This record gives sequence, structure tokens and C-alpha cells, in this order.
Amino acid sequence: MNTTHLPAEPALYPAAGQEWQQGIHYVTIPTLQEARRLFGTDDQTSRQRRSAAFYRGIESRQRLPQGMHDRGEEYVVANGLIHERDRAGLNNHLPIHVKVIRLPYQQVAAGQTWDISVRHEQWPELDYMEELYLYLSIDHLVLEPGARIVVCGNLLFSSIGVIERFGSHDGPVTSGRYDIGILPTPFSVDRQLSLNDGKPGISGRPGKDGTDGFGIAIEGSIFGPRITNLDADTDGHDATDGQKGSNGRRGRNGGMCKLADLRIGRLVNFDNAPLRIFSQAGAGKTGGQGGDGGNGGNGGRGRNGATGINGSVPAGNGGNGGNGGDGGNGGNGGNGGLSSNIFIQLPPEYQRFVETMSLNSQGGDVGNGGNGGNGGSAGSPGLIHDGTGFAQPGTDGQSGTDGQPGTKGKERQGANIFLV
Amino acid sequence: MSYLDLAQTIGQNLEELKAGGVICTIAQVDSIEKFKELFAADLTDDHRASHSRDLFATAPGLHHSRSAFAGLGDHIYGTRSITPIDKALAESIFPINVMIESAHEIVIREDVVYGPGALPVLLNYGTVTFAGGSITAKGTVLKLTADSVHISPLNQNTRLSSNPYHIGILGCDGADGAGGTAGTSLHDPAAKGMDSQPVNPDICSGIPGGSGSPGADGGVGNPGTIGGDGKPNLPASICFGDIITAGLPLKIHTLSGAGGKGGNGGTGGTGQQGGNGGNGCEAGCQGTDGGNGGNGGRGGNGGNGGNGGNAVDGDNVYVSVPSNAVGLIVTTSDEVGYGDGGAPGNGGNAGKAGSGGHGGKHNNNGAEGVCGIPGNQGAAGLTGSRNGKPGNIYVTGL
Repeated sequence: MNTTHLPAEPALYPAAGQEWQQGIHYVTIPTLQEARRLFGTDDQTSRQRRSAAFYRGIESRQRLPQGMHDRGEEYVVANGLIHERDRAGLNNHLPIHVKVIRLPYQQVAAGQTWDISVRHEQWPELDYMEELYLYLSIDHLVLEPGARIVVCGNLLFSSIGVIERFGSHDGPVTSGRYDIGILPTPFSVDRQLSLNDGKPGISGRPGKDGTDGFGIAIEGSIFGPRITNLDADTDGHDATDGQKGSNGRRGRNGGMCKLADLRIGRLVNFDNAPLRIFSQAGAGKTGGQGGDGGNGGNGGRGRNGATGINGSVPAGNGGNGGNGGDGGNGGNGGNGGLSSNIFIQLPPEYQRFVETMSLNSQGGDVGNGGNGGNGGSAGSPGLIHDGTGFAQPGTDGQSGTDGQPGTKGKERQGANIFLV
Repeated sequence: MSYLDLAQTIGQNLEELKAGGVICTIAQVDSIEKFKELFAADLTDDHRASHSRDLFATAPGLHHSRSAFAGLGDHIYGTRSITPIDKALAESIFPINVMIESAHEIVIREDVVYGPGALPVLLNYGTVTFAGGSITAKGTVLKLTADSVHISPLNQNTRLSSNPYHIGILGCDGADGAGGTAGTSLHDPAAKGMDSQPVNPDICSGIPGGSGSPGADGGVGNPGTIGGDGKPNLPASICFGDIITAGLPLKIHTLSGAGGKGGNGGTGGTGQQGGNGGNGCEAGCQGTDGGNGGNGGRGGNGGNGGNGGNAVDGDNVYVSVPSNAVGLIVTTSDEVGYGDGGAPGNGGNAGKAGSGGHGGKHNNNGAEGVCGIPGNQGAAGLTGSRNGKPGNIYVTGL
């Protein structure tokens, strides 16, 4: 089951002490301070526990632009600060754009997937990579057998009073079996690569055929045939080599899983059927195939020799065929997508009814190398003027070597899931 | 001289000939006097006077071999006495090879062609019968001698010759000029604009991506080559002892060589694609605009067509038959024309525009360049300027 877009309303967010209106709203929040008030927990102890674990597994990216976003998210959902060095960069992303789902009751039907994600079509003026947020607030959520909720690539804040399971479930958590899925953006978030990533290399152009030898021009005279171009070059000329194929482009990185903060008040009927939470970022795309090498051109034909009353011209040798161009190398597979951490706030008596699985994202497959081009054919020789035989043929060109395959993309660590 | 006498002179096997064999020999002729004896012995004084007169009536330099060997040719077919210069030239040429075919009786049912530009041909027959076929010498010296020539009436079983004659003495048309090759085209696009690089991973310099380079113009198409000048028919000597035609004429035709057509001009090359604009800066959450794409290059102009070649006047044909058979000879000839000029080459296609570079975050992509314009068509080649008159066919009764 997917939520459909409602027209963007100039909805206002509630002031301190007020509640969200029921329904689905698309709002903009002007400051991180307001976001912290509206979407983070009131429990300071819980915020501190989040901060203690916040950067585990994502330490290395703190020196990157993504680190600025992590520190901003820590401020909103945990106990972080707004750092002065981050202020200008964070301001570029304000106001933040949020889809709010505020419902007293929601029952997800058996076998249905409720995708609560929001995409940029809701705000066409935004860059497609701009961070989008979800706030899910449900008093009573019911999951029928096989029902699931997924969010794809949005930062999720949620506050659910009660989650109740109807019936049983179909087994432990796997990549295909879960109740709540924290899934990646449907696109790569790596701007270092062009939109053409994963494209195959361009095939090399074929070599040019060698020109044929110059034909002998004969005209009649009273005393017999007379050659008018005794200096004719009857040899066929060599062809040129085929061009090398270009390399395939690297595959794009997999989509990213964003931070999720799940606050749950109570679980009902999960004793023998735990609440299953799954996360895995997107797999890298396959590298592009290397372009094929161009075929070598064919050697030019040697021309026949001739004898006239004024001299002879020898038969021409055939020209050599050109070598085929080498195939281009295949592109490397894209790296698996990144994941931010997941926090689950749940009273201690229910924590044993939660089952989680977080998988590393897979690197993309290699692109195969392109085929080497075929060598061109040798040019044929001309006939000796007295018909006793032929001049020398040229040699066939060599085939180009096949390109090498690229390397597989890197796996990336899955999200750390913390019970706080 | 009868055909057997001639065959004996040449050294061919008389018994084999009498038994019905056809003997074809490549014989070496040692001197110009021997050549004259073989190929022009039957010419009358009137023939020779006509040859010398007509030779000087022809504009000199039209055919280089004619001008080179004109003196020797006048000695062979005309009235000129050999000079020391002629003698030295002849000694530099001889010995030469000639083809001699002798037969007691031969029937021409097919179209037999000698040449173009073959060895001099001497056909020495006892009886030659034209039964639907023809003999053609194309740019080749011919001596045809027969004790008797017959022309068979055509019937339903006779294969009709594709030629409107029994004996044709023809020149060779000039070769058509070769078409000009296409102008050069650059297949790779012009240089891409520089990508704008960040100052550090979080800050852009504010500089947009660079503009792509404009594409180069396509090369001009190469001109077509000129059409070749026609080559004349060469002198021929025809001598028959008797003609038996049952009232049908013996048709002798001559035609010189027409000028060849000029080659067509080559197509202009395609204009080069403009370079793509460089990408704008991407750093942290900052960005700059992408660069504009370069304009496409202009298509190259088409090459000019080659001029057509000239036709050339033909050489004479000398026919000797019994006096009572002169009326059975029908001669035909025609003027040949100059060659047409070659068609102009088409202008090359316009080069495509380069794409704009990708804009950085929150910034615009560069604009696409402007497509080039196609090249102009070349000029048509000029026609040749001279027609070619046929040689004269002189028929003398003996």
C-alpha cells in the first residue's frame, strides 16, 4: 500500500504544546531548533544514550561533507550541538522539507507493503539529492500477516504508541522477510560521478583500407601497346590499424540508507513473533563493458604488370592488412551504498521482542573488457606481365587483444542498529 | 600475294593450313621495312597519297603517339622516305611482336574484338565467311587479307551481330575521370571545457565550468579528375581477292574515340561536433554552473566536378577489292563527341552542437551550443571542347 500525494498545502507546524493535525501534511521547518522540538524525543536520558552511540561505524566520514549532516542529525534526534564550522553549510539546507503522517490508527492489510517514502516530485524546485524527511506519528498501528512498512532513502523520525500484530509471522527476519524496512534512496548520492556511469566504452573506429596500386595505362600505337605511365606504382599500400576501444565507465554507487529514529511505546502479540527490522543500502551498479577494438583495414591490391613497346612495369605486391585495435577495459563496479545508524527507543520489557538484521551493501559487478578488433586481410598481388606468376601478397594484420575486466565494487558496512 | 604465299613468308606450316587448321602465331618483326611489307604492302599509290595528305591536314599534337610516330607511320602508309631520325627512332622500337592468324577457311559467327591497345594484328585467310558475326579492331592496327570473302544470308538460325557492320575499325573512348574523395571529417568532438575544481572538499571557487571548444569546419571535397581524351582508331589495311555476297553489302565502319566524362566532385566533410561544456564545481553543499557547449563546425564545401575530355580525329582505313566489287562495299562513320563535365560535390553536413556541462548543486547546467551550417555545393565541371572526326575509308578497285 503506498500513500498517495496530497496537494502541498501551506500547512503550518504546531507551536509548543500543540499537536499535529491528523492526516498527511507537507511542511517546511525553518530551523534545526524547531526540528529538534518537533521530531526528537523529550527524554533527555534517551538523547544522551543516542549520542553515546551516534558515530559508531561512521567515524571515518566525519571529515567529509556527510559528516556535517551527521552532526546536524545528532542535534535533532540525540544530544548533539550545532558546530560553528557547520553553520553555513547547514543553512544551505534550510528550511528542511518534511512529509508528516499523523494518524490515530492505521492497519496495514495482509501481504501489503505500505511505502511511506516521499520523493522530490512533491517539491519540484528542489535538487533531486536534497535531503527529505518523514515524521510518522501513529497512536495504534496494526500489522496483519505479511504486512510491512518501508521507507526508501528518507530520514525517518517516528513516534508510534502501540504496534499490534494480528496473527503470526512467516519466520525470522531475512532480506525478504521483515515488518519494518529501512531501505536506500532509489538513486546514487555520489556527485563525483557523471550521469553516464556504467556506460559502455565506445568501439574503436576501423582502420582505413590501403589504397590499391596504380593501374598501368596502355594505349595503342602503330607498333603495338604503349605504356603511358611507366613510373606507375603498382604496389598496394598498407592499411592502417583499428583504433583502441575506450574503457567502460565505472558503475554508480548504490543508494544510501538514511538515519531512522523509531520510538515505540508498546508491542502487542509479538511474544512468539518478534518485530523484524531490516536494513541494507543499495548495491553498486555494474561497470560498463569496454568498447571493442576497431578492425584493421584491408591491404590494398597490387596491380598487374605489363610490357609495352616502350618498356615494362612490374606487377605490384599486395599491401599489408592493419592490426585490430585492442579492446577497452571494462569499468569497475560501483561501491555499495552508505548507511546511517538506526535508533530504536522501546521500554526494556519489550526489547526482547525485537529482531534486527543489517546487511552490508554489495559492490557492483565488473564490466567485461571489450573484444580486440580483427586484423585486416592482406592485399592480393598483381599478375606478372608474362603470366608466369604473381607478385608477393601482403601479410594479414594481427588481431587486437581483448580488454581486461574491471574490478568489483567495494562492499560497505550496513547500518548499526541501537536499542536505546 | 595469296594467303598461302603470305603464310609461307611468315614461316607457317602450309600443310596444316591446307588441312583446315587455324594457325595463330606471335611473331617477332625485326625492322620497320618488314613491318611495312606485312601490314601495308597492298596499299595503292592513291592510298599512300591520301594518307600523307590527310596526315598534315590534322592538327598536330592531338594524339601524342601519332605525333611521336607520325613520320614512321607516313613511311609505312604514306609516301614519306625514311630519314636518319626516323631510322634511329625505328631502331629504338624494333624488334616488336605482332599477332598473325592464318586459316584456309574461317567462318565469323561471333563478334571478334582485337584490342584495345593490342599487338598489331594480321589476319591472313583463304576464305572468310561472315555468318552473323563481325571483326573489330579497337585502338589496334589491323591488316585483313583474304583470297575470298563471303557474306551468308541471314536466316532464322543465324545469330545476329550486335554490331551494325562486318568490319569495324574503332578508337577508344577516354576514361571517365575519377570521383573526388570526400573532404575530411573529424569524428571526435572538439575539446571539452575544463571542469571547475573545488578549493577544498567543502568550498567551490565560484568559477563555472569552462566552455567547450568550437568544432572545426569540415574539409573541402576533393575535385573530380578530368575525363581522358579519346584515342583514335589506328590505320587499317583490308584487301580481298574476291567478294561473294549474294547481293548483300559488306559493311565497313570506322569511329574514333570520344572524350571521357569528368569525375564528380567529392562531398564536403562533416563539421566537427562542438566540445561539451565542463562540469560546474561540486563541493560539500556548494556548486557552480556548468559551462556552455561549443558550437558545431561548418560543413565543408563540395568539390568541383572535373572537366570532360576531348574527342580526337581518327586514322584512315584503306580497302582494296576487285573493281567489280567496289559497289558491294558500304562504308559508314560518325563523329564522336567530347565528354560532359562531372557533377558538383554536395556540401558536407553541419557539425552537431556540444552539450552543456553539468551544473553543481543548486546551480544550472550549461547551455547547449549552436549547430553548425551545411557546406555549399561545388561547381560543375566544364564539358570538353572538341569533337572527333572519323578517319576516311578509301576503297580502291584493283
